[in-house]
Order: sequence, then C-alpha cells, then structure tokens
Amino acid sequence: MKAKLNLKPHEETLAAVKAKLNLKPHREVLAAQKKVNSVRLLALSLICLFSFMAGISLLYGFWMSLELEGEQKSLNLSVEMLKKQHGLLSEELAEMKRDLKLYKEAVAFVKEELPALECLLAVETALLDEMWLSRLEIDADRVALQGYAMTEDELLEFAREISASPVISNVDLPVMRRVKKQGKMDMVEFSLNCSLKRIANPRGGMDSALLKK
Amino acid sequence: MLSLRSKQAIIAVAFPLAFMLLVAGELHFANKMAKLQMDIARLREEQTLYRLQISRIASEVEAYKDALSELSKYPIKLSKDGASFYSNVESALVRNNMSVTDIRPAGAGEGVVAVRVEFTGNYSSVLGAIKEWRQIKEVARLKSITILPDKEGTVRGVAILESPLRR
Repeated sequence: MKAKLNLKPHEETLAAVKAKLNLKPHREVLAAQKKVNSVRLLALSLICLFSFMAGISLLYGFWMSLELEGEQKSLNLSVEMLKKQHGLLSEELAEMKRDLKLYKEAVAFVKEELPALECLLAVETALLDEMWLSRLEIDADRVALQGYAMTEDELLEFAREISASPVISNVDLPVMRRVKKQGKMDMVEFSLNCSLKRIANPRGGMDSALLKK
Repeated sequence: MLSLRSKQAIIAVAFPLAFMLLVAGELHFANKMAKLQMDIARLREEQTLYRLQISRIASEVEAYKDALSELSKYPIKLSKDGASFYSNVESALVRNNMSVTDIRPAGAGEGVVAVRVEFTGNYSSVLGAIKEWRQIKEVARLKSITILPDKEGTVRGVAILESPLRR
C-alpha cells in the first residue's frame, strides 16, 4: 500500500532502497564515495592543459602579429622616405646632367669658332708691300684669297709665308694670270685657296679637360 | 536548474566549439604572421636596394657638384629669342666705328639663331669687331666672313654669326 502511494522520483526511491539495502560498514561506504576515477581526471587534465596551451599560443600569436605589424609600418615609412629621397636626388642629378650637357654643347659650339682673327693676322703678316687683296673669304674650313702681286715670285713667297701659319694648311697652287692694271702696269692677278686649321680654343677660358672629368 | 543531460549536451556542444575557435584563431594568426613576415622581408630588400641606389646617386651628385662648381667660373648664357644677340653683334660693330649697312636673320639649324651683317669701315676696326664678337655675353661663333676693298682706305664685308637658343 505504501509503495503505491510513493510520489518521489524514481531515482530517489532507488537510492533510498539502495541505501537501505547497503549493509557495508559506513567507513567503506564513504571510501567508495571518495574513490577517484583517475582516467577521467587524466582526460580532464589533458583537456585543461590543451586549452591553456592553446590560449597561450593564441595570445602569443596575437602579440607577435602586433609586433610584426608595427615593424611593417615602420619599414613602410622608412621605404617611403627613402623613395622620396631617391626621387629628389635623381631629380637633382638629372638637373646637373642637363647643366653639364648644356656646357658641353656650348663648348662644342664655341670650338667651331672660325679662327678668323688669327687667319687675318697671318695674311697681313705674309702680304708683301707691293701686293694687295681684292677679296678675302673665310668660310668653314676654307680661305679664299684674290688679289694682285707684282711678280709670280712674290706670290709664291706669299703662299709660302701663309702656309707657315698655325691656322692655315694645304695651300693650293695659285691660279694666276698677267693683267694690265691701271692702264699701264703689268701685274699678276691671283686666286689662292687654302684650308683652315681649327685651333684648340680661340677664346681661351674653359678647359675641355674639365668637362672630360 | 539544468538537468544533468542538458549540462552534458551543452558541454558536448561548447567544448568542440571552443576547440574549433582555438584552432581557427591559431590558423588565422599563423597565416597573418607568415604574410607579415613575407611583407617585411620584401620591404627590407626594397630598403637595402634604395639605400644602395641613394648612396650611388649621392656620390654621383657630389662629383657633378664639384665639376659644375669648377665650370661655374665660366658662366654661359644662351639667348632666348636672338634679339639680344642681334643687338650685341651690331653694337660690337658700332663701338668699333663701323657702319652697319644691313643686318638680317640668316638661315640656321634647329635651335640655333643666325645673323647676317653687312658693314663698312677701317680694316683695323674689322679686327676689333671680330675680337668683340668673341666676347659677347651669349655663346656665339663667327660662321663666315668676307672682306672686300671699298672706298679709299676702307673695307666692306659680310659676316654671318650664330648663337644657340635656350631650349
């Protein structure tokens, strides 16, 4: 009748029954209750250890990535600055190269200067007293002279004299003919061509060795 | 209060979830670190390269500076439009007491301005004018000159002078 009226949960009833039926000494019952399941404890420890290690590793990864990000940022900054410096220096160098090129072109241009003054002085020195020129043309690498001399010998002497000049080379054979000048005088009309020798630097000044350097 | 079965179910779900989260986190940070390390290595390489180039350019700049400081002793001036060049050519003749009968532009190559000038005067003045043409401010050169006798004691002539233009 009592069993039919039991409204407690089944587990409690069973425990009560078990407790009632447990005839072991109280000490042993307590010892049995305190007995540790070592497999379960080991598994739990391993799980805890794994979780701990994983956590530490995660934190280390986070910290390392922060460190690396910082390093990456500073490197990026440094590379940007170097790029800027490189650009400025390249610009400066290009400007200097342009300036030097300008100098070189100017020097090359001036080097093509006709040694007209030197040539005129050479002709003036070689010209004999009784000779005169009716035309003198200096152009590129050539000098053309036209004039009058008393005799052929004088003309040859003149040709010999100007060929000794440092600015004149290759004096061609003069073209000459006898003419009556001023009605009476018998003179030699001549035409003489010679090559012009360029002198190193007619203006002086800038040394080309400097540009080579 | 949760029952034992509910607790067991929660643990059964939570534990693998936590495990997966941990593994995912590890993978994420490992990937991130690998990428960062690659990036850092590339940046270091770039940095070294730039440093080398900068030191090379800097030494080149120094050499050019030295050369240009030497060259600055010989200043050069290029004319912009040729007007001042024409003026300088003419004034060199006038200063030497010569009269200019004609002055006009002459044909020249690209980037070069040329002037053809006809003049009369003493022969010695011609020499003086040629000397002055060599000393005009702009870079210039005498291209050709023809001298003919004129009236008593004087000569007439034609000269062509050139000067490069500033580009």
